Amino acid sequence: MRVRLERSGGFANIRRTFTADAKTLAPVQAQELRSLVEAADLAHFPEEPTPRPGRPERFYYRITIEHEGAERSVTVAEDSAPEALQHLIDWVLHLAQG
Amino acid sequence: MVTEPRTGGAARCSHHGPHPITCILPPHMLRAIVERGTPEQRAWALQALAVSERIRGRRELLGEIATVTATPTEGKQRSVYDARNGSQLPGTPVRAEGARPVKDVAVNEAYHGSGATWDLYHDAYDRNSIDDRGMPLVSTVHYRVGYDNAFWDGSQMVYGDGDGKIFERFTKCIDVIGHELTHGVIQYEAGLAYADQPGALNESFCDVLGSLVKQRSLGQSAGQADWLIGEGLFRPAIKGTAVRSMAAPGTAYDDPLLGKDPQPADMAHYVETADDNGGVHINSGIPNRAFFLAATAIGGYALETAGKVWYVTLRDRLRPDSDFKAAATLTVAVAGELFGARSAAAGAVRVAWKKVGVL
Repeated sequence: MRVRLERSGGFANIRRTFTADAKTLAPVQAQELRSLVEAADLAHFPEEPTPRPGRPERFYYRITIEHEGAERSVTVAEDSAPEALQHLIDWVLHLAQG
Repeated sequence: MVTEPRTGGAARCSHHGPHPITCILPPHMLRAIVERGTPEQRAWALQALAVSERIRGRRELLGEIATVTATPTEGKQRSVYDARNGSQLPGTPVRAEGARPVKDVAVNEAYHGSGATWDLYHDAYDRNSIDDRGMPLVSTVHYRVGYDNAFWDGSQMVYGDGDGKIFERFTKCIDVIGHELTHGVIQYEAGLAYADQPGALNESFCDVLGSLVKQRSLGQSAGQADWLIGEGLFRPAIKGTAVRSMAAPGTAYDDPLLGKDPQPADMAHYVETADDNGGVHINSGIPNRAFFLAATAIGGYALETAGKVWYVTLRDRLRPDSDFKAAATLTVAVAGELFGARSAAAGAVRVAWKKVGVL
């Protein structure tokens, strides 16, 4: 399982991509990642186009889950991510910045 | 539809009802209610007036009744909070208006920068805070962990610490603080929609006023200013001087990790994109450069002439759907009204918009 997080927007409008790959993570972290992805339940998340107009300076996150040959992407504004998805976003960011 | 203000108005526009925007009473009637109604009726009539004033851009309404109502707050009312790396707003209070500096530099920067912004609006443009009614300035620092951003959330400013690899803390740059507070001003005035050209204008006016806050704090004339936005916000390892350049959009940074500054300098290079709410931080380079060209052609302190033209246009003329052409036409008209149709200022504004290909 691989999670790709693309962050865009923000004051500087600089696009960054962060990834977390279960294959290269320690077993404990890989399990954490799988649980977070499962809890975020992206399969039932509406892949709606980003609503506009937006709100000043807020980030947008595009989250792509690659798992067993399938791929699923959703895009959310940072202030509209459901809590479980926000946990996944925070975890991937923390891993990348840690 | 027209009813006796004290009774009919109150019945139709109950303060318990939905947002007062739904109120259909004309302003003169609301004013009568403010003057003669019960305290409760006065409260909602005032609120409805404030809303209709913003919608119509008719600023004289509240001025007339200011003496019969509670006077707006006078003076700066700043407060700074610490989110302690969490996401709850506003967080823990750490510095109130008039309090001495604390050890935390981000707190002091937020306090000082919001004060400098308040002062610019007040001293140069006779504006009483973000809403022109004395709104307190609330700032939260240390939002989330390593957060690479700053924003106005509709009622307060929020600053991240930056990740420490690409970005410094976002309070470091006084123009960033002026930029964020100006999003608040726009919310109460033109209400420029945050997408496409109106959104790029929204961003550009924030950069213009942010730059003016910085120029004023440094005592710089248009010729002395660096016209950079977020100079020093990048960590030293990043190849770039700033996040944006108003004088030369597209040249602020060029870094292997971040890519190149994507801002166009004129309409021939306008970027059509669905990203960034339709390129609001990208195409803002065009009106940014128009302001730079006008201000440097006029000379002196940018806030006095070009800045005044831009501010008055934002306050009185622009609408939520205004595009670049509207901004150009309206700033030329306002420059003519303020300084004379044949004045050097009006000419400089017209030439500036022509140079960037909008007129």
